[in-house]
Parts: sequence; C-alpha cells; structure tokens
Amino acid sequence: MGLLLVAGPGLPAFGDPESAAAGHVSAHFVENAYLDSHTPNIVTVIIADYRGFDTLGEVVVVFVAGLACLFLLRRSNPQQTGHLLRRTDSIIVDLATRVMTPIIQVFALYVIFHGHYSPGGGFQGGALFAGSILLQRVSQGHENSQHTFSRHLDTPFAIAGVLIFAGLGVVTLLAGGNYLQYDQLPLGLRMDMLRNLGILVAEVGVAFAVVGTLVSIFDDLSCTGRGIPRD
Amino acid sequence: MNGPITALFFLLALIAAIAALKVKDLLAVAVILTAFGFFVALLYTALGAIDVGFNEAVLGAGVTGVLFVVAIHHTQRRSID
Amino acid sequence: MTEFLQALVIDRWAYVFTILLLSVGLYGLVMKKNLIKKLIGMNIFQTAVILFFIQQAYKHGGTVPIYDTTVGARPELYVNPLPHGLMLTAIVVSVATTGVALALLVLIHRRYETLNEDELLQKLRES
Repeated sequence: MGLLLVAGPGLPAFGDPESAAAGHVSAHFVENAYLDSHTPNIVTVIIADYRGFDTLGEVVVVFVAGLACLFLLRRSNPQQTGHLLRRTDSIIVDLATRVMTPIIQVFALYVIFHGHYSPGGGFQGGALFAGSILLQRVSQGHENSQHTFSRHLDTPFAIAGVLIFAGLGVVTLLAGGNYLQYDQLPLGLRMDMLRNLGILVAEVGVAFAVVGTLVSIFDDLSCTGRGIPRD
Repeated sequence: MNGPITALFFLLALIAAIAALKVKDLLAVAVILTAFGFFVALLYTALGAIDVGFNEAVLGAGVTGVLFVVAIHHTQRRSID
Repeated sequence: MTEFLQALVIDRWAYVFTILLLSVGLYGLVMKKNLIKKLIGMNIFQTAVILFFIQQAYKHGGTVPIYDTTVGARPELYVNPLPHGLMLTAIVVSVATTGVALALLVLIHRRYETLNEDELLQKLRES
C-alpha cells in the first residue's frame, strides 16, 4: 500500500483533460461516433462497433463461465435432491413480485432497444431481465416459476445469443466486408444506418447471452445439494 | 466539480467494504456487499460513467447478492473471522 | 515532502481512496480464513480496479459520453468513453466468474463439510 501511495504522483492528475489516456483513440471515437453510426451514446458504439471483437470475446467468456457452472453442479434430476427455494408464505412479497416483474421486464426491453440514445444496451438490459427472472425464482419458488422461464431454456438462450453475435460477423464476411464490419450488411441502406442496425443486432445477441448465462448460473447454484440451511 | 459528493460516496463505499469483511454472519455480509455495490454504482455515476453505473447497479447490487445468498444457503452461515 | 503530499492529496485525492479500497480487498483476500470471505475480498479488489479505470476517464468539465447536438463532437467536453466500454464488459465477466467461484465453493463444502481454510488443509492432509 505504501508502494502504491508512493507511485501515486506518477499518475496523471485527477480530472485532467490533457491526460495521456484521453489522447488519440478516445478523441477519435468521440469525434466520429455519431457520424459513423448515427448513434448518440458513444459507449454503445465503442462496445458493439469499434471494439466488437473484444465484446464478442467477453460474451464468449461469460458463456463459458455459465457452461463451467453447468458442468460443475447441474444434476439431471433436481427433484431428488430437494429444493431450497419454496414458494413464499408472505402475501406481501407475493403480490409485490407479481406487480414488479412485468414492469421490470418491459423496462429491460426498453433499455436494450433504447441503448443507442440513453445509457443502456445489451449488458444492462440482459442483466435487468435476468434480475426479474431471478426475483420470480426466489419469491414464487423454483417449481412455480418454471412456466415463465424453464430451466431447460437458459443454456439454449445463451447459445442463441453467442450465435446471433457471431453469425452477424459471418454475414458481414459473406457480404464482402471484414468480420463485424457492419456497413457491409446487404440491406441497401445508408452506411451509418447500417452500422446503427448492426449495433442493435449485436446488442440483442449480447442480451440473450447475458440472460441465459445469469439465469443458468442461478439455477445451477440453487438446484444442488441438500435443502436445509445449517448454522 | 462535484468533489464533496464523490468523496462522500467514496467514504460510504469504504465503510461498507470494511464492514463486509468484519461481520461474522455471512448472510449479513451478502446484504452489506449489495450495499457496497450500490454505493460504488453511485460513485460511477458521479464520475460521469452512467453506463457503468447502471450495469453495476443491476449486477453488483442485485444479481451478485442473490448468488451469494443462494450459495450461503447451501454451505454454512457462520464464519469464525 | 510537502510537494509530494500536495501532488498526492490535492490533485489526486480520488486515487488515495481507490488505493485504500484496494488494500481492504487485498487484506480480505490474504488474511481471512473463510473462503466466502476471501471471495468477497476478491470482489472488492475487482471493484477497486474498475474504479481506478473510471477515475482515469474522468475530466473536469466533462459531461456524460452521450452525443449532444448542442455541444458538438468536441472530445474535451466529454468524459473519456473508452475505459467505460472496457469496464462495462469487465463487470459482467466479474459476476460470471463469481458465479463459477461460488459453484466451486459449494462443491468443496459438499465434499469436505467445511469452508474454513485451516480445517480444509487438515482434512486434505488426513486423507
């Protein structure tokens, strides 16, 4: 810690507009993001377009983490191991969940599809959607929440998300561009609108992957082992 | 420059972090960890990173806590340190 | 010495907080015996690293990185958006890795009936 404090003054000053990190590349991003892709939210453009490869890698990492949980913990037949999560007895929690869940889900969809213009995007919206499903899992019990989002559906969701993102890259490749070069999409629109559309499809893929993975991790953790918590 | 607000959030996050390591009941620790995530999300927002703040508010203050609670239910609740 | 302190405390006070947070996380990671406490220390450490990146991105007088037609595309008026994009994905990955770590902890507890490091090492030595 002393070492870190000694190294402290070597850093650029806090809030310095001229610091080295704010140099060439970020300035380029800020100047060109709106012109290139007709998208005001610069962070979204960086995630899905300029650094699309990086994001694809991160999505695959998240997906592999979900798979690791699955292989470590999942039982083929969770009914035999006993359930930790039963339906709640409290009518307040029950009613609050029933009211909140659809609102959260609609807001999550709004966050995903409005990520171009406001803070949001695939990661946040996917996490919100997963949060609403987790809320239902916790309050309504594991059995009763299966009809809204089955536990057999979460890994296919994650796979679909990764395939949407990677398949978008393949489509641009077939259309004659580089991998994930959205302005080569064969749709006959203006180039910035094509990039706008490409970002949207990429965000939807990210959201699918995040929803699938987070719910899958939760299901694997909750449907395992013995039922009774011990002190 | 919103210096005092940023410093306040920093202090709250630091207190929550220390409390999360000091408390012995692990379920309480999971709750304190979500509080820590929330303060850090406020801090990101104060520093201008609204996207990151949003993400941390959903994941750090929501999903992580649920995962910890479920894992603690399956293991033991008491910790000796 | 006063120069050093001025450079650290006046201009870079936010980094001092981050260093403190980093130390708290490292303390939990090294000194705590319970494995879940260790995991929480790791979470705090990760958060401190992400916080450091976000502070690097901050600019005095900068607004949030959403393009505003009345402001125009002038880089010095927006907070640096590149670290935000990087850290956004890092947070999601950190949650996913926390999930994997918790799965491993559940497996360890199922097999050895303990999460205390000392008892765990003893049981490993006996078997």
